[in-house]
Amino acid sequence: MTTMLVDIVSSEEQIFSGEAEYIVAPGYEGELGVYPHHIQLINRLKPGVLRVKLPTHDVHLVFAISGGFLEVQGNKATVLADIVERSDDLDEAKLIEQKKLAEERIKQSTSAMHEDDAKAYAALELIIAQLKAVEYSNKQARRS
Amino acid sequence: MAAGKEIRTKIKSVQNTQKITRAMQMVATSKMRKTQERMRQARPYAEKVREVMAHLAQINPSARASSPFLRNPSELKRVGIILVTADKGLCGGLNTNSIKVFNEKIKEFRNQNVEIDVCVLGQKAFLAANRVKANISGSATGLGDIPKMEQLIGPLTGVFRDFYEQKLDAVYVIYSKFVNTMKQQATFEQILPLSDRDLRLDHKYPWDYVYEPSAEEVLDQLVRRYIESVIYQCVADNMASEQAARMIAMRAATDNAGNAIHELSLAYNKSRQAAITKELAEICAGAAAV
Repeated sequence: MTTMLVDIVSSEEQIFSGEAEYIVAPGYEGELGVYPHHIQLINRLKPGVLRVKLPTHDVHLVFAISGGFLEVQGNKATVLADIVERSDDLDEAKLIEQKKLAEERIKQSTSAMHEDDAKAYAALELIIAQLKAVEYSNKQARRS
Repeated sequence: MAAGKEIRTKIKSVQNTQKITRAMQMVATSKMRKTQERMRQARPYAEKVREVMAHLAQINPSARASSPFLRNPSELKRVGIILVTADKGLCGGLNTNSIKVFNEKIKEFRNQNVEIDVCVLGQKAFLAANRVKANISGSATGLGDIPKMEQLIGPLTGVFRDFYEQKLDAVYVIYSKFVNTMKQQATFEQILPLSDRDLRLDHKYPWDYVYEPSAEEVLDQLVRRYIESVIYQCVADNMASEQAARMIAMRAATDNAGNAIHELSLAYNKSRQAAITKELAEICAGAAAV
């Protein structure tokens, strides 16, 4: 099976680098899958779940990202993410609690604080993305 | 023996100081390794963003022309300076050198009647900007030992917005560049507008990408990320410089304390010897008298 090189970097460090069969990324206008020898592409990503299929594993590597870019060229896909976390590093119970807190903050905020509102929504979106990532990897674990 | 006792207390106090400086030196050494590691880790992202940004700008002249981030104002009316320093002192001339550069530039711009907005990163930068009564547009202090993007985004967003809305005509950064462990260089660099070197205008790219959403939007976002990563790199550099400078300063202090102790113990031994000789002479004199 053909593979391609996948790099996942955040602004602080390199998260993942290696060969993969395909990846699935949360594009701005819908989820998209990238297989080897894909056309050159730049895509803005929204908060969501990023999946990488490794040739050596049956299950996907699952990441939660807060947004960023996907760049594909020359059989190489690079994900430039703002915040990335492996689903294995996330704690579901803690996330559910954080989600409640974030939702409450949004409810309480008045319309006067635009900037804080945007921040709170962004935080909530990231938490939701992380929860989805955990859910996905749990589902995977049950299936196998 | 009064002199002897005094010297002994002095030796004790110098020894205590030496213990502290030695501990600080060791802490700085281990932190320096960590910060240098950080500095390296952030590099792949910055390189990649820059590459993609240059490619996009090159192949889409229309997007490049319409992006407020990539305009090149002919006249400077108001500029932004991002001053990066350490939070703490005790690191030799590191902060002083950066602040000296800062003060010179402030004077230069004021002489040309250019207004200045300062964004400070680090406690010492905040104090320095206050001293020259600069207009502080954003600040982040207490950054700790490892730079975190979340802490920087807040103050930087204000600077980007002002440049985007054409309130600022240029943005510069002042920080200590990490050359090697022995050498840190206070550096003044232009961040915005981007230079031709950043955009690699000499490089030719033969093919174009497929975009989602539009090229303009992607380019703007990429430029923003690029600048963020450049500043992040500056802060990471500054932190590595801080730890290296502190390590060197504390090593010098430890050595100096060692010298001081050596000299003091010489003086102490001398005075003890003198006291014993004097006592002996007195006893002998007394015996002779009997």
